[in-house]
Amino acid sequence: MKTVNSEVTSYMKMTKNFLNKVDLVTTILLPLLFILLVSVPYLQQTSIRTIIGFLLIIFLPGYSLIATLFPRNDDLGWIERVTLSFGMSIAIVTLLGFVLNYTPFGIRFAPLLFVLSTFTISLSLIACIRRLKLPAEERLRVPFERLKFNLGQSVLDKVLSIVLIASIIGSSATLTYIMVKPKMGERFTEFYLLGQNGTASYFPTDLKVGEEGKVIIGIVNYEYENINYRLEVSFNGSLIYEKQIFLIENEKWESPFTFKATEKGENLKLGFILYKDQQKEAYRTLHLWISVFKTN
Amino acid sequence: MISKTILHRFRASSTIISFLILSYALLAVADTPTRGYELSIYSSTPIIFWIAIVFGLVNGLFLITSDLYGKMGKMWMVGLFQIVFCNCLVISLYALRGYVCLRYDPMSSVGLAKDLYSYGFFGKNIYPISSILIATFSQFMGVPVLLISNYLSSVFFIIYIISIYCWSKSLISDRKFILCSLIASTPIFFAWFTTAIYPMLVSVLTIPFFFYCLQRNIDYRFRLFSIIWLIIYPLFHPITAIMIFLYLTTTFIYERIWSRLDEKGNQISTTLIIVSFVTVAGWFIWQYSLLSVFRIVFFQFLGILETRTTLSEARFYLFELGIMNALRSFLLMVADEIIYYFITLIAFFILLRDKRFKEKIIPTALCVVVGSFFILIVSIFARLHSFNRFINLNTNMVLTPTLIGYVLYKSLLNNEKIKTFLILGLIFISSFTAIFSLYPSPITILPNYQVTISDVSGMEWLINRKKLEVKTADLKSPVFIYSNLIYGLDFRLGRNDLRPALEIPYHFGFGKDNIFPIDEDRYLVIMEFDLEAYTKVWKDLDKFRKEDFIKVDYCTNVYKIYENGEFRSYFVHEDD
Repeated sequence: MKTVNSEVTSYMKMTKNFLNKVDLVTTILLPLLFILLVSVPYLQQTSIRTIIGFLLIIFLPGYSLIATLFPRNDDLGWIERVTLSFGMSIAIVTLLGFVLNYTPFGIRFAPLLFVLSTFTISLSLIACIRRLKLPAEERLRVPFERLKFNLGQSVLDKVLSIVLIASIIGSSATLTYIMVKPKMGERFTEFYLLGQNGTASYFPTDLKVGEEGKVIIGIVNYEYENINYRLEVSFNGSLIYEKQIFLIENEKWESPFTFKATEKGENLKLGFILYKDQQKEAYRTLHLWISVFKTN
Repeated sequence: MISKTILHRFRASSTIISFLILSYALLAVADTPTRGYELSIYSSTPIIFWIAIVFGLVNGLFLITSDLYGKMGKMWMVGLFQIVFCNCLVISLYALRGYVCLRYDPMSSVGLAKDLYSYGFFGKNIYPISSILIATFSQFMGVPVLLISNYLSSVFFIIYIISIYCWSKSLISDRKFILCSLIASTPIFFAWFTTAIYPMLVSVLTIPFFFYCLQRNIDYRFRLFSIIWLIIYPLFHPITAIMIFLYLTTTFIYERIWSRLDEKGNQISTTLIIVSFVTVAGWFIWQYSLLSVFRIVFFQFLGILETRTTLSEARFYLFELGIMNALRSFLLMVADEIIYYFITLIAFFILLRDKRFKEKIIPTALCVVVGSFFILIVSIFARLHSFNRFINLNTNMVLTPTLIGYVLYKSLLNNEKIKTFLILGLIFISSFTAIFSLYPSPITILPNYQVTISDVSGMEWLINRKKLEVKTADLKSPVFIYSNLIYGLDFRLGRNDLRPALEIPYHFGFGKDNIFPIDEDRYLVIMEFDLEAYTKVWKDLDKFRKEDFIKVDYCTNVYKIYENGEFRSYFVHEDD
């Protein structure tokens, strides 16, 4: 019986010892875990990388610094400790970045990760040593016991408290979902003209009777659906070209178009009209003004 | 008398309802993403969202206030969370609704961060800190620079609120005072600056954190933190660094001349003043562009240089908008600031007679007064920044929550119920007006500063396909700013063709069948934003009418070469 009791006591002591250092163990392990996540191609795009990456910049360096400088439990309140961790993390990250800017490495991912991880881990180790040098009752420890929720005395109070916590979690989860969810609000089609060299210049604006003019017509479908377009080209009011174009989502269509100046005139309108699906109203319009001169 | 149990149940029920409405409102926002340019974000966002926000703020304030009376519970934490949650939702609303970003400065901030992300060096960037932060977040989290920049101000807003907690605790460690200060920090100051990452904004939001460190400066560790932040401020934003120097000097003079504290009680040492001066001066000397601005301002003060001052710029706005319109817009945007200045003044007078807390709080009040005078003097005699920046991003405002909290605390201690209620009412009015002037909108005689995907797509096409020798022209949508957003600032430095160099005349300077007589070809850009702004919000200016935009299509020197619904690009031929 005595042996069992002493085993339980030693187990409890170990647990207590671990809990006393759980914050620093976390600040040491998280940078290492992050390095692992970014090293393995399959894990690079996971949301866990996003979360740890965020913490590695906004919280962990500052926390390890504060833990080193304030190792006692009564040095600071927890809200102050967290605030200082945020504030000093921003300071550390930006100052380290500033220094890196003046080295050949620059403010790039690999050197910054190396510097930040080294800083966080080494300060956490120093914090650990400083904490262990203190009497056990003075050492900083995470107050897990304060995290207990007092749900209330009656059943109604308990239910209300649980629903309250659920509603807060629900709102936060909804916000996260909306932040990461792709927004598909804007649907549009690009319709454009280019000169024959592929740039938005050298448009055929002065032609001789019988001469050919060349442009490039482009359509890009960003409507989040497949679309049947109808393209019409008119010259001086007469329809000279018509074409049906089917484009799947995000598809681009670009094609040279040649027309012939058949009659003389100044500022004759070369109109390009794009219709969407079976709509009768023009969806997009473009135009050039062409002056056609006699050969001599 | 309401029993504690009933009050607890009522608070829990109202909070549950409030969070449920917030969740529903968020889903409604997700269901109605932006489909193109919206003149007002307020009218295009489902009304349930605004109801949820107002209800959430009222409930949050109620939870904190009810904890002020009687035994302290933990519900104030839920209240604080709810206020922060609601304010962050409003700050990030444009991103939640699917806007690419907001116009002008935020676009360049994104560009600077993109440059840093791509090249690894910040070059001549005079605000490197915000760029380093955005680029680093982006690299470490594996998400685009744009996404980070859209949500980073919310992160800084949270840091601002918890810093107010710590700072007020270090001033008067009575939980009632702390809660009063937290209640006073509810309004989102800085109309249309808080909504996007601006180097000056994020630096200003860290000032309460710096003041907290200063307050506990007697401890060498906090002194170290203060010095680190003094090094950072000039790199964050030069104006913030100058303001910090001013605050330090004000407190230093107060402590040495008026304060009755012994020397050991002084927060501001000569070393801190020297560090602040050296870092600001050092960064100004290091960055040539800052030094030249400083020289201009200095010569303006001496009266040697007679150029535009902030005040003359304000007069220009007054003339452009008309006195009544300008006044209305001004009052709506700074209503929260005016209310807070008014209560600060009351705080100042109460403090003069308060022997108990005078030494602790009066330096903050003095900093607000001196800081405000500094801005006023600079605005009258020089041009350190635009008029808009000074009225909407008034650094002094972040210092006021502790002062307003103090007035509220005093009225609570003296059991002055009407006064307490009045101050709470004023804080709520400030929060309400702050939300409805947070985004540029017709309420404040401004069009919404929305950048749509179509705009970016159109600009990208133009920048890539345009002839390099041909320059651009625009109404209120400069091509170079879009180039900053899409490709970074470094790209634009090699493209002089993107710089605007043409003032488009009223009504496009229509001739018989052509527009603005020019001696060289130009690409003209017209966006839905320009159309809506000139034909609706600034209609009284009569610069461009609806028919002007239609007539452009009939001008024979104008070729319409691109359209995507929101964005049109024209090739304007030179005069023969």
